[in-house]
Amino acid sequence: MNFTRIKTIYFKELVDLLRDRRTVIATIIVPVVLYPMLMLFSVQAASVQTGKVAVEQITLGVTSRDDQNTILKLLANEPTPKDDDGKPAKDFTPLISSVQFRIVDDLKDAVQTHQVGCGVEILKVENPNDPLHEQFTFEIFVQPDQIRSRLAANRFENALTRIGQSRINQRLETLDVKRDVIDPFFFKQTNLTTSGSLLGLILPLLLVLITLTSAIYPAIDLTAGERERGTLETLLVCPVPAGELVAGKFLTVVTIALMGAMLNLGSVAATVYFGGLTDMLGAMDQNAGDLPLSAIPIVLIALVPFAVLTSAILLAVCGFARSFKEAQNYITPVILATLMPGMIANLPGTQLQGPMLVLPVGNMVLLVRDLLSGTQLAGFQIMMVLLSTSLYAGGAVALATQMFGREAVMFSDNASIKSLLSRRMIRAGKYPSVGLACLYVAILFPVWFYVQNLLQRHFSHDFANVLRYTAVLMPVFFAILPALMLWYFKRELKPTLALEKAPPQYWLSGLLLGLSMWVIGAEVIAFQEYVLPIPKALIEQQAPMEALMKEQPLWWLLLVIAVVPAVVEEMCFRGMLLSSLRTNGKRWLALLVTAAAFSMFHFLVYRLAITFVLGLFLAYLCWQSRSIWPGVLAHFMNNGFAVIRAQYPDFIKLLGIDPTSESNHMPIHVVVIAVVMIAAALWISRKPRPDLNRII
Amino acid sequence: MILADNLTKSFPTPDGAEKQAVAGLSFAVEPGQIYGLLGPNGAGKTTTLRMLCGLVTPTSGRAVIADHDVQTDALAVKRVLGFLTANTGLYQRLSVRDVLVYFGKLHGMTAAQARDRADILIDTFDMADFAILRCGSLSTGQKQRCNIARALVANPPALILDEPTLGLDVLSNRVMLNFVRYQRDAGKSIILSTHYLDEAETLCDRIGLIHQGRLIAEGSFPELQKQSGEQRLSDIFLKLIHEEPVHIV
Ligand SMILES: Nc1ncnc2c1ncn2[C@@H]1O[C@H](COP(=O)(O)OP(=O)(O)OP(=O)(O)O)[C@@H](O)[C@H]1O
Ligand SMILES: [Mg+2]
Repeated sequence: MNFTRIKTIYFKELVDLLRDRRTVIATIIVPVVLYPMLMLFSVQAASVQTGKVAVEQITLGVTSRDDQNTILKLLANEPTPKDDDGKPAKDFTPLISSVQFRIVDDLKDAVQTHQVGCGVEILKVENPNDPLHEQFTFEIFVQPDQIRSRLAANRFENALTRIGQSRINQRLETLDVKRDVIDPFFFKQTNLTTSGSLLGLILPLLLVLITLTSAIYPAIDLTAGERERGTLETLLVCPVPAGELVAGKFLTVVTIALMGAMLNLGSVAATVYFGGLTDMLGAMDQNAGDLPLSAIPIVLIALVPFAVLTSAILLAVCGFARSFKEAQNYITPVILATLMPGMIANLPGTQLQGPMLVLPVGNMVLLVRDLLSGTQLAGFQIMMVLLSTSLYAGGAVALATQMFGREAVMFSDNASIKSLLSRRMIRAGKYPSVGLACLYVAILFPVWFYVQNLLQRHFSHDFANVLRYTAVLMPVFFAILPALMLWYFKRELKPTLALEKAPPQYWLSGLLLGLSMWVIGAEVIAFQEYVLPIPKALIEQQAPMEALMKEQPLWWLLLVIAVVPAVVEEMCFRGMLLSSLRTNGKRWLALLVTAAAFSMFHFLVYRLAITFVLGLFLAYLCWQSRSIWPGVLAHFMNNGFAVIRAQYPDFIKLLGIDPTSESNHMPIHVVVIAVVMIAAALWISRKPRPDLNRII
Repeated sequence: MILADNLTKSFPTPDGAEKQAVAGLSFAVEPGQIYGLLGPNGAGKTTTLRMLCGLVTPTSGRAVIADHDVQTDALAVKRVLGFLTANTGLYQRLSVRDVLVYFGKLHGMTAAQARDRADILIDTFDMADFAILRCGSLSTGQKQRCNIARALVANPPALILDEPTLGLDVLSNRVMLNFVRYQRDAGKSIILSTHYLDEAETLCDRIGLIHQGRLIAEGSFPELQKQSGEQRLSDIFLKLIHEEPVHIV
């Protein structure tokens, strides 16, 4: 990567785009002017509407003139209510001045056909005209889901309640009883900020939408647009790797997307604080306009990975297109697909937990919502959202790079998606492209998370069954599906999944790693404990699992915890993913990427470090030996030790480790031996095995 | 300098068959030579030139430019290559000078080097009048000059030109042809494709006639005349095409 050149491309694209009137309109005018205006108007309209309905005339349906007169007589005595300080309320209009009557035959029908707001029938009157014992029974016909009907009924009931109260007072006076005697409770209500403030509900989805829409135009313009204008060919004959071109363009799209989001957030904040929106929202619903200013920078930071994700997706999709029009056609379904999880997440009551943590886009909407409403978030939740979004973004970037400047897209006359995916037109090759492998891993990530969640929920923490089904499903998702995909794209299974036999020295390395990795793992956890202690709640959650590890037969545990994961995880990560990364030859980058993806699949922040380190060793071994089998051995032994330690806690005494020790650290002699073994393992396999197929 | 060795390209077609656009093409272009690739529509000229500059991967065969294999060392090839086609576009919203500076930087020059090079090119191609205008506002001829300058930013020893004179008026055409000659005299290897046969007669040092992806005749214009007994290139062309049996592949 040549960063000067990426910078050159980035600034050129940015200048080029910002000189385009359409970008300026789409990314500056629309978010700064249009959205706040729309928002202002809709909120205003809503409040005006509510206000209007509240003071409007109401129409009461009655069945006879007698009923009408009776009600009118009652309403004539409606007292003026008192406010909190005991003074008569100011803007009070008695119902009698804003009510009109309509005599109808069928009250139900009249309400349902909206001829009247609500219907009132006097069912019976006991002791009529006796001021002490007169008692009315009304039946009210109302459509509670219709605001006018509901308001009419409310106002009628409120008025009669007030009248009833004043009658009670009169009667008590006559009987010489104090009012307190019959009112045992008094209430005073204090309203607090709700977490679901109105703005907090609209804004996350709006921001997501703006980020997305701001990215669309640049994404099309920089790919399909450039192709259409005939400049892409020139660009591709420049001595610049496709990766750098994509990087420059990608950064440009991200910048513009973030610019759109930032401008929008700023203008919404300005509208709220200076435009009197707070007052207006407050009139409707107290604290509704509350928007913590301090949260805005955090929200912007949280939006970065999201902008990265959408920009990458859009670039990848537009990479397929050969013209502006075609790109627009592809983008519409993508936008819908992107917004759907956002809408789902935006449903009231949804929380940033469980599956929502990794729901693409949806998790971002929830994160922004919670940040804006000041909800307490655990670091783990934020990490999970940012990490999973970054993983998806990584997959999309890889795909975008693969697509960019592809011959089939550049010069093809046939429908390009078809020619890219139709098996007949796929040229056979040895390894899958980085894009293909990353895309699979990126899609598998949420899928596997959901599978695990579903299993846990279905068997409601019956861990034995969860484990059993995991052991069955793991090979499907980590081995069989990748193999099918590789077959479809005509990749060579054996070298890609690294299923070839390994020479003995790598087996020796695998054995040494298997013997020592668990010690290193334990040390990683022990050191992690200083910065990121594992919460008690989590340890308790794991308790049934630990119990299970003690109860179940050893062979079964070894099978589902050690054998199956060792084989299929090696196939997927050290096999498919690592092989795809071989094609660009950068060993350390490949190892880091593989280890990072592997660690993220363990879904727990506390396991990130340990699985990353172990994943690094395993990836190194596979890279050097071009075979997963030594790694499978090491992986199996590592997981196997955990099982054996659970069943026979005293087993580690053999190594001079005190199982009851308070310290998380291993005794120093054990650590030294493990480090020596690891070093030996790495040294033994320091020479990479040549690619036999290539020589022949 | 420019070498095509048994280049083949077949495209998959929607109905499942393979269409061979280029079928085993071999030729070489020496420094100081203009090689004209001539042939009817769909003969495979553009595909060949695209393979030479690494935009399209050959199905088989090899393309070598300045000792770099296009397949294995694409970046090195692109460093020594100038590429220009009739439909090459310019960035509409950048000025002529900005475009030249941008491509200079993409070829690895520093900002100062790129600016100096741009100024030299603007001078050479007499573009000072419109160098600060945006490319979108230029006339076709001005665009063409800017495009030539763009292809020459890195002063590449090999030039690949696909129908460079398509749609130009007499004046711009002359600018183009003079430029090509000048570059030849400066010792560059030039390969161009064109449909203007009289132009090719006078311009090209060697001519390769291709038909249905195959080279059916090659040589200097006098050699081709002798070989076919015809005087004009268009007649030579027609004669050779009719003699050749039509292959359906
Ligand atoms: N990307 C592609 N997909 C499928 N077929 C293609 C593709 N590119 C070119 N072809 C086919 O290959 C053949 C050669 O095309 P090419 O563009 O090389 O011809 P040409 O000699 O440049 O023609 P012209 O003089 O019209 O420019 C044509 O039949 C064309 O249809
Ligand atoms: Mg052509």
